[in-house]
Amino acid sequence: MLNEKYHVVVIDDNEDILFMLKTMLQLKGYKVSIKENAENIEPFIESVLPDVILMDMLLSGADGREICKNLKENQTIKSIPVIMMSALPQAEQLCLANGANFFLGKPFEMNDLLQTVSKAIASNEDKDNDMSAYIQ
Amino acid sequence: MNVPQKMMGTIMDITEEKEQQVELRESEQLFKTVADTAPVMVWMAGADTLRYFFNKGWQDFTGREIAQELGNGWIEGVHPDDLKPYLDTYLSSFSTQKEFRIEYRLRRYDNQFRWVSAKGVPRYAVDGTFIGFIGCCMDIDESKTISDKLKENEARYRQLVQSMPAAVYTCDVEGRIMLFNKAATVLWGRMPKTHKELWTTSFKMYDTNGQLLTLSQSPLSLALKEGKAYEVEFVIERLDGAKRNVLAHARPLYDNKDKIIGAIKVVVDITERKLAELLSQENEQKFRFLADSIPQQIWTGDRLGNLNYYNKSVYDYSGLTFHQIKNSGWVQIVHPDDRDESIRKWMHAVATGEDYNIEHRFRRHDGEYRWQLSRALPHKASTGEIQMWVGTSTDIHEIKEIEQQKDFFISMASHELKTPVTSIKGYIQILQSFYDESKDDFLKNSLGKVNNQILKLTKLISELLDLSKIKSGNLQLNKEHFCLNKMIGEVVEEIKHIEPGYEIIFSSGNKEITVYADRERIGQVLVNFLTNAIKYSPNSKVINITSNIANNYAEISVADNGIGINKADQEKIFQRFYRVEGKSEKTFPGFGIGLFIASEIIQRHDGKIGVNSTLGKGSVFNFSLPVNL
Repeated sequence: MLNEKYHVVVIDDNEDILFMLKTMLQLKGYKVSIKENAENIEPFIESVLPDVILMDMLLSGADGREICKNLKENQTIKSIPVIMMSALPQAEQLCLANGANFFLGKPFEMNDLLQTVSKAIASNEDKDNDMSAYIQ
Repeated sequence: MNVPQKMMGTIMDITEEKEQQVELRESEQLFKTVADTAPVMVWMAGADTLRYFFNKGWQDFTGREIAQELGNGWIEGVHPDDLKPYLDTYLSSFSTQKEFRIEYRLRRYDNQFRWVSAKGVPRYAVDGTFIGFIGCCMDIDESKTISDKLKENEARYRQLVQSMPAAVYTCDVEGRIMLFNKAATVLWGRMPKTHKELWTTSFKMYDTNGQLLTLSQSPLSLALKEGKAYEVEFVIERLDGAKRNVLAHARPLYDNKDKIIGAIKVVVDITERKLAELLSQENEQKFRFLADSIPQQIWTGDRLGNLNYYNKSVYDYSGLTFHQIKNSGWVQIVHPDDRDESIRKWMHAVATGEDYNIEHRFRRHDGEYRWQLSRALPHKASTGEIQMWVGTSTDIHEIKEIEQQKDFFISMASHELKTPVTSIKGYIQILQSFYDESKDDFLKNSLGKVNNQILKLTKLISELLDLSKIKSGNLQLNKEHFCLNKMIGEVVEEIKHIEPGYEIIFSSGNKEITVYADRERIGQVLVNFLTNAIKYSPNSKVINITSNIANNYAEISVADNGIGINKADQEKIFQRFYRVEGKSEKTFPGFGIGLFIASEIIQRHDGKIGVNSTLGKGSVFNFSLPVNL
């Protein structure tokens, strides 16, 4: 499928939602890795090096915003677009302020999810293209 | 020729006669000299009433020549008003030959009429023949004026005393009533005989504690006995049994040798005043009791806003005394962050007479600051002038906390609700995408219905959340420039997808309408209009949307052919939790907050929202947004 070359990491502490997201993305051909918590997240991301990170804002025992901030400070990871999700009101501003590139409010339409993911990938590819243009 | 032939004559010894004549002349001369030197006016008249003598004193006084006065000439000097009574007395005295006295006015040399006192005494010759009158007059004008004034004054004082609302009476040293006024008779309930009856027989006296007073304890007795003035308040019981509260003032009276000759007493009936005082005391006590029994803090201020009373709650709460609050000001218990606003609003209220209304924190005796709702209203006289301020401060700390908790709860609850909704919605959509191509219509329809219900559930949760945001003032707008028609088109598509049975027709008078607004929130308003239009149009499937620009406003309207809304409800429909109640509406669920939220959103965009509707024919909901912002 078209999206097979793209790898998405999904982090959510709700197992059902995690599986749901995985299913949705896989339906559209994405390669998906999942994680239920924030433990050792940076080594995990570093090992996978996905094209997009889809992460819930509130993870049990951890604040997604802190994690996002850390990811954005990690030289290896920081260029990977992060989509943060939350059902909390006003979460969008908080997430974007902490380095998230996109926001997806819960609950969402499947279409919204897929559009956001592809938008995130496209944004990164544009950047890569810009970069290659610069190098040339 | 007549020539005397003989002379005859008689010789009589007239020596004595001559001597007598000389003596008489001499004595008259002497009398005239005496009369002239006398400081009085003297006249003499013959038995014919005609005057033939006036002394120098008369001439000096009248400034007239003797010749002018002689006979009846003197009559010209008598005051015209006094002439008749004077002549009547004068002439009748001549006929009766009796002494007379009369006061009349006589013209002085300077043409001023002066009161004179005249006396006339009949004169008789040695042989007892009546030979006229001798009279004298004295200028008594000054003393006459003084005595007239005295009389006048006395009458005036008498009148004054009579008309006084207080009982006034005097008695002699024995306690016999000498003088009294009308009020005294009212007080006594009798009309005593002066110089005879004692003042003591009119009533019994009690002190203010109800103790019967003896006669010697009465202020009049004391004034007589000790020569001092006394003022005492006591209760009298009249002979008819009526009791009156009186204020008695007794003072001794002295003669010109400083000997006590009696006493004067003034008694003021203060029964009514006492009653009023008692009543106002009772009222004040009642008010204080009422104020002190209320857990709210109550305070009053004068018209200038200076606080002058606090109920018990204020002292209990603050732990301060009246003087501590007075000396350091009430502001000392207000939280430092709230002081400026508290003072500013209070000054504004006092200056304008508008109500005072503020939420601020007061320091409790234990140092904790607690939220209070303070309100004050001016009490105005009938002229509209402010007389005082009455204020209350209500502890709303718990309410504030509960509200915060409630907002937090709604926020959390909606989050918690959203999580399973996210899950359900996601799986439904996964299923829908799995069975998109399926021939199983029932399955597909069922999934569609579940998805729609989930959408509705999501909307309800969002509304709850919005409501709590509006209440806490946290409804934030993310404004951006966007094309209104494009947004409308997207919303229409979305709704068509959910409600395929409805025909939604969108027409715009302007191709491009760009507004600066929160795209999502404006979309929410439109969704609300459309879902309402669908909800209340069970029998008509056509909905019309229009957009236009008029007077720098973008106007959007949504018209349905549904059940409509009556006039009374149209005014209230944008209020919170207001739902149109009626037979046909009972089947339409909802919180009744959708239009309230829509209205809030539009108002925060400086726009207008409204409705035109005819019952049974349909409704047109509209909103407008400024386009040049």
